[in-house]
Amino acid sequence: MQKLSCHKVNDLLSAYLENELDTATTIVIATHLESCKSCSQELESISAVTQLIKESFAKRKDESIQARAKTINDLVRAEITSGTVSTKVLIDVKVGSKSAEKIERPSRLHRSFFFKAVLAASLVAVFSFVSIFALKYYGSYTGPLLAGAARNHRLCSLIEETGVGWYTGEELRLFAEKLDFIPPELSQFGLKLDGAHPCKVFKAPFLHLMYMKGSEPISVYYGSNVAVERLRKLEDNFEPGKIYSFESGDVKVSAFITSKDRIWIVAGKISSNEVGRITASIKSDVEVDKKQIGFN
Amino acid sequence: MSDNFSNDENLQARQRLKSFEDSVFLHTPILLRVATRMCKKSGEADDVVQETLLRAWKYWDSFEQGTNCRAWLFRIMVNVVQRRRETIAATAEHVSVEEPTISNVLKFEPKMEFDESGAIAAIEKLPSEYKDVIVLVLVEEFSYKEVSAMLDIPMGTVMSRLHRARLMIKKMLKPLWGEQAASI
Repeated sequence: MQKLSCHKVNDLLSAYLENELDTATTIVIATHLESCKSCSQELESISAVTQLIKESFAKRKDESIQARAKTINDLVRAEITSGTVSTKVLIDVKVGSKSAEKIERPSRLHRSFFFKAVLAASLVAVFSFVSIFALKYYGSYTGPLLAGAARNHRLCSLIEETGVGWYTGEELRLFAEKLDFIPPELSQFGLKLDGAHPCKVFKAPFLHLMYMKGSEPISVYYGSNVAVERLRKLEDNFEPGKIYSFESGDVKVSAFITSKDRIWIVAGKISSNEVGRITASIKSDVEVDKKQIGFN
Repeated sequence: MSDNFSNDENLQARQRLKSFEDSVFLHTPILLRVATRMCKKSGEADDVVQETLLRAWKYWDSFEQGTNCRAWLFRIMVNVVQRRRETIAATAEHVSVEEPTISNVLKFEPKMEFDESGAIAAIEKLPSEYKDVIVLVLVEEFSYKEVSAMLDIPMGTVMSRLHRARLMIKKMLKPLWGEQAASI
C-alpha cells in the first residue's frame, strides 16, 4: 500500500473530511491516521472548525429569503415580458467552461447588407411582437408624475432632517393611528420608517412616508383615489397593475396604481433594481397577500 | 400589428418563458442565500441574483436541457459577483496587490451579537477566493466537482483553497477563544 508523509496527509484532510477522495486514497489516509497522533489531532481540529462554521451559519436567520426570492422572480419575469432583455445564442454552454456565457455564435452573414436588412425587418417585427405579448407588468412612462416625485424626494428629505412639518417618533405613531393608516413593513430591505407628512405632487394630495436605509432616506408616497383622479387629468397612460419606472439623476423612482385606484410611489438614491424590488414588494402585499396597508 | 405574428410564434414565446420559469425560479432562494454570504452589502445580493437571472434568460437558448441547471446558474452568478468585485477594485482609491496570507487576515473584530464563536466574522475577513469556497463547500454543501465548475477552477485548487481557508480561520479563532480553543 502507498505511504504518504504527514505533510501530504495534512493537505488532504479537508477532502478526507468531506468524503471527496477516491477509495484508495481514503484507505491510505485512514490507515495513516490510526498510527499518527499528530495527524489525528489535526483532523479533529479541522473537524471542530468545520462544525463551528456550519453551526454559526445555521443560527443566522434567513427568514426574508423566500419573500425576497419571490420579489426577484416577479421583477425578472416583468423585465422579460417587457421585452427589455434580449437573448443570445452561444456555442458552448458546458458548465465550467470559460465560454459559458461569453462567446456568441460567429456568422459570415454578420457584415452583409442582406443580413442588415433582415435584422432591421426583424427588429421592427420583434418590437411589434413585444407590444402585443409583453408589457404585462412594466409600462413606458413619459408623464410628469414620477419626475415630480423625484423632485419632492430631494426637497422633502432635506426638510425632514430638520423635523419641521414632519411627524416623527411618538407623534408619527399617533398621526398614523388617528388617520387609521398602516405603513408598509419594509424591514426586509433594511428600511425603517422615520417620519411622515402630508405632501403634494403636482397638486395631488399624497401621504409622504420617509424610511431610512442606514443614513439614506427613501420616500414612499401613498395617494388615495382622489390623487389618482387628479393625476389621470395630467396623464392617462397609467394603467393599474403595471409598475412604471423613472430616473432623475441619481434618484430612481417606481410607481403603480392598484386595482382599487390607490397609488404608491417609491423614490430614493439607491439602485433602480432596489427601488423596483421595494415597489414590487408593496404591490405584492396589496394585491397578492391582501395585507392591510395604507388607508383601510 | 398583431397580424404580423402567428399564434404559433406567440405560443413558442410563452413556452420558452414557461420552461425558463419552471427550471430557474426554484433556484432563486439558494442563489440569494449564497449571494448574501458572498456579498458585503446587504442590498447587493438581491441585485446580483436579479442580474444573474436576467443573464440566464439572455442565454437560455444555449442551456442544454437536462444538464445541471443549478450549477449553470451558480456559474453565471459567480461571474456576476467577480465582475462586481473587479469594478469595485478598479474604482477603489487604494488597491492592495499583496498576496493573501495567513498573517494579513489575522486582524478582525467579530460581530458578537449574532456570531458568538466569531466564525462568521472570521470568514468575512478571508480573501474572497477563499471565502467563496468555504461558503459553497461547508455552508451550502456543494461537492468539490460542482464548486470547481461554478468557480471555473480545477478540483485540486478547490481542495487547496478550502484547506488553507480552514487553517486561516483556525488561526483567527484561536486567540479569540483562548484556552477553550485548545481543542482546535
